[in-house]
Amino acid sequence: MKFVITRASPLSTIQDEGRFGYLKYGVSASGPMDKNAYFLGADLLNTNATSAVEFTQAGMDFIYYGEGKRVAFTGGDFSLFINQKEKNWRRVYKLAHDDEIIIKPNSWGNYGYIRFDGELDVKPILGSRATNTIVSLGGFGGNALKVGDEINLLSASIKNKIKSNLSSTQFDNQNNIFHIIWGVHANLFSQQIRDDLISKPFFISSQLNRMGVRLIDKNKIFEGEKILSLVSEPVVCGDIQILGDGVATVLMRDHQPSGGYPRIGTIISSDIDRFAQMRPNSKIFFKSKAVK
Amino acid sequence: MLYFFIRLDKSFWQRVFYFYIFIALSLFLIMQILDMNEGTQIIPLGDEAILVRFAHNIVEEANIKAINFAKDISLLKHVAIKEIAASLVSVLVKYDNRKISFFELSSIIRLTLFQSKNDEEGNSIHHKIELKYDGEDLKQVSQMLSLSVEEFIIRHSEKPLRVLSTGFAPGFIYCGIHAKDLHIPRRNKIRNLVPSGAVIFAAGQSAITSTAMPTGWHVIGHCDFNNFDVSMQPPTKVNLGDYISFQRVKI
Repeated sequence: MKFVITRASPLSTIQDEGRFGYLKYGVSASGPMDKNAYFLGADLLNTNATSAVEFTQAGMDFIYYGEGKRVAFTGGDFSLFINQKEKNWRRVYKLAHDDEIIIKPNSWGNYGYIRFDGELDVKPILGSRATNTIVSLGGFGGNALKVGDEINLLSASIKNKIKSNLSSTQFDNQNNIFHIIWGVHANLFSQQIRDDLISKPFFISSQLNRMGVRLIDKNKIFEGEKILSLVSEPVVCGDIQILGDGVATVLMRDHQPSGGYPRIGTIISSDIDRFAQMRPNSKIFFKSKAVK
Repeated sequence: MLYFFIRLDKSFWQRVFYFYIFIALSLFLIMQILDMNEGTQIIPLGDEAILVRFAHNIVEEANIKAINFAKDISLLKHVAIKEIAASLVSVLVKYDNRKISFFELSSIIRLTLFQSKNDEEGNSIHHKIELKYDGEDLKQVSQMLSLSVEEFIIRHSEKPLRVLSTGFAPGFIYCGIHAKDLHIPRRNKIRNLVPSGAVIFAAGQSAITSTAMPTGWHVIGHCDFNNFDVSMQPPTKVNLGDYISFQRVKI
C-alpha cells in the first residue's frame, strides 16, 4: 500500500501531534497548523494512526496503489475529486488501487489534512513523525513533500475508539477576532500602542509559513518601534513578535525555541487553528483576555 | 497551632488566640517566600505556558538560578506540567490548562523557587573541544578588541566556560561568560548560513552550532564536535551547567 504524489503545494509536510519534550535540546514541537482539523480526521476514521499529510493552500494530487484503504480529508475548504468525480469534502472514502485524487483550493483556508487508516511509513525521529523543514528533522527525510515522492502505508492499527481531542469550540471561519494574553514584554510598549493593538485591524500578509505569519500593519501602529536589546528568552506558538523594523509576526508551530525580539502578546491556544487558516489579506482583530 | 485551635477542651478565647498566631505565622512565611523570590518574575506566556524570569540581562547568578530551578521543578514530575526548558536567565514551564490553572501552577512555582538553591551544583562534566581558529571574522574580532589574532586566541581559550544555555536550535550550545574586556556586540549584517560545528562569538559568549543556521554573531572558528544526534537519548551530549574548554588545533 502506497501513494505517489503527482502535485504538491509548497511546504506540504508529514505531521503528527508533535514532538514533545525536546525543547530544552533545541527542538520545537512542530505538529499540525490546524490541530482541530488534524484530530477530526482521526475521529472520522476512528483510527489510532497518528501521522497525516498536511498540504497547503493550493492542495495536492496523488495516486493510490494497493488494496482498499480508508482515507479522511479535513482542514480548510477544498474541492475533492476522486477519479475526476467531485466528492464532498471533510468525509471518509475507501480508496481502491489506481485511484487518482485531486484536491483543489476552495473558499477558505490555508491547510488541509489527508489521513489514512494506518501510519505513513516514515521513521519516527525523537518519537515523532512530524516534519520540521527549518532544521530538516522528521517526516519525509526532513523535507517538504514534492512531486514523485512515494509514501508507503502501514496496515490499519487497532480500531479502539480513541478519545477525541477535539475542542468544543465550533470552527467559524467568518470569525476574525483572536484573543490574546498580554505578552512578556507588553510593558515595554506604550499604552497607546497597546490600545491600538486591541482596537485597530491588522491584515494577514502573503508571507506566512509554518514558522510564522507576518501581519500587515496598515495603521502603522508599530512603525518606528526601535530594536530593543533583549536577552534571548523562550518563545511559544502564538507569540506576537515585533521585529526591529516595526513588523509584527505571529510565531507558529515551527518557531525557533527562543528569541530576543519583544513580544507584546500571545494568541490563546484555542484560537491558533483558526488563525492558521486565515488567508492573505484577511482582516483580523485582537481582543485581550485574562489568563485563568 | 491548628491542633490547639481544634481542641475543644480549650476555652473559646484560647482557641481564638492560637488561631491568630497560626494566621500571623502563615502570613510571615508567605512574606518570606515572596521576599526570597524578589526580582523573580512569574509571567503568563499565552494560556499554556509560564515564563519564570530571573533577570533582564545575562548575569551568571541568574543563569545558575534558572538551571537549578528547571531541575527542581522537573523533579516534581507534576502531571499537569508538559515541558520545562531553561533559557539563559529564564525558564519556560508549559502546562495543560485543562489540568491546572495559571494561579495554581504559579504557587507551585513559588514554593519550588523557595526551596531551590542559588549555587552551582557539583555534578557537571568538563568537555574538551578541539577548535580550529579559522573563522572568517577572527581578524576583525581581534581588531575590535585591539588584540593581535594570536593574543585573541590565547585569551579566548584561557579558561573553561560554563554552558549557560542550550535549546536555541537543535544541539546549540551557549557558553561563557568571557572576561569583560572580551565583550563585543553582534555583527550588523546577518550571515545567511554557517555550517554545523561553527564557533561563533558575541555578547560575552561563545556558541557552538550543531545545525547549519543564519547568525549575526562573529564566526571565529570551526570544530568537529557535533552535539546533536537523534539516535541518542537524550539527543545531546552537553548539559546545562557543564564546562567547555576550547583546545587550539594548529591549522
